[in-house]
Amino acid sequence: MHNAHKWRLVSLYTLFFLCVAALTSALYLIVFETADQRAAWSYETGNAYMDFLKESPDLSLQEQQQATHSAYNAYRDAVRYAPLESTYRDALNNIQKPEQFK
Amino acid sequence: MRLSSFLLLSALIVTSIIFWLFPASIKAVGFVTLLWSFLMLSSLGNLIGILEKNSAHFSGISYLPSRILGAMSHQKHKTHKAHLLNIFRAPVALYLSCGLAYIAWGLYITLNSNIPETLQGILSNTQILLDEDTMSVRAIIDPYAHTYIAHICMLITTGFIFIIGILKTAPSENNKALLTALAGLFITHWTAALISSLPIENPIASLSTFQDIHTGWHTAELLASLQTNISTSYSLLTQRIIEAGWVGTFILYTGALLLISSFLRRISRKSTEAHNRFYAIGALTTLSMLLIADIAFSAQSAALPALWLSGWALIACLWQTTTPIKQKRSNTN
Repeated sequence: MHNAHKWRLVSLYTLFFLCVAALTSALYLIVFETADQRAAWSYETGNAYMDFLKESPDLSLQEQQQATHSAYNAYRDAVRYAPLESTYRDALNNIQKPEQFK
Repeated sequence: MRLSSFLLLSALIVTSIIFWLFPASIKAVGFVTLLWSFLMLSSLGNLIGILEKNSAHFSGISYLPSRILGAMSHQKHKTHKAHLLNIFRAPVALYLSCGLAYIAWGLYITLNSNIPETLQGILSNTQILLDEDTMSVRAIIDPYAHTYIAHICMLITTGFIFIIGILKTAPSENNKALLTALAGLFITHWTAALISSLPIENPIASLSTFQDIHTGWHTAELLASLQTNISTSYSLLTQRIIEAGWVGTFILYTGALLLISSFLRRISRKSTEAHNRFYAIGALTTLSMLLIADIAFSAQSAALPALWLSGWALIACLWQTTTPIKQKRSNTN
């Protein structure tokens, strides 16, 4: 096979694999949520647990602890996905940590 | 305007509309990449056929089964379209290699970034005690995976647009309509970027005030928000130097330098026709305008991606238009 032809085939294969890589990456970008979206969703979940705690004064101590624990985990996930977002960090700082439960 | 040129222009307009409607959206980058990947795949199909026919024409040897050649027989009445093989010429191959080398270098720098330590310090200062898993490098890198992939997608899409621009342009034919439309699109984007993004105050000074820290993609914005010696307003060139270092930036810009030398050679060649010389000067002007946008416009400008892509499409068309047509060789058997 002619050298130039070999070179062209290699280039074509490279372009083909780049196409496949680009298509896969594009689908990943379109289909999966971004970290910011996941952080916002986790933060909303944490807020929902906190609202539930405030609006339910009749909860037992164990139920309160479970709800607080869930809110803590949700806020922690929010900070994990968006470490620099101060709103999420403040929310995490202002909540009782699971190990502080007695 | 030829149908293929119209396709290129339509795809560019769709790309511009997507970036205008959804500025700074990662999903917009995904859709644009999807569009150009499909166009590239369809162009590759055509290219394989042309490569095969040219190979058979010049050497008398076929590398495809006769069944596939038979399927291509409807194209036999056409010319061999040898000018499309210009994408295999050295300047284009080197330009694309520089892009791939930049992607490899950027990924290496990003995955070996010292940003996690910086973030660890910031988080410790705010007295947030997270578990070991959260503080690991993986946990810091993962949240930005979308941004890294979007960055790579933009680079690959630029390469695809460059190749498709060459493939959809006829050499030394009357490309005035296509070139005028592309130039109009590019100037519109350039003006929009100029108006929408306040040019940074002293771009040259801002280049010299920071160190070569090469902390990986997406870190300039992060460092600016942490206010670690980086101004909140920086240019695209500054961002590249911060994120990929001088080496990475040099690799990326070498591709453009190779094209500049290619255009200069065409201008200086005596056999170059006057209108091609004019187009080559136009290409150099476009490259200069892209460089000005890189140095003087704010990297956060939403108009930059569309400006970048339309600029490279125009340069590709100008490169193909000014490429001298090779004389057909006789059968070399």
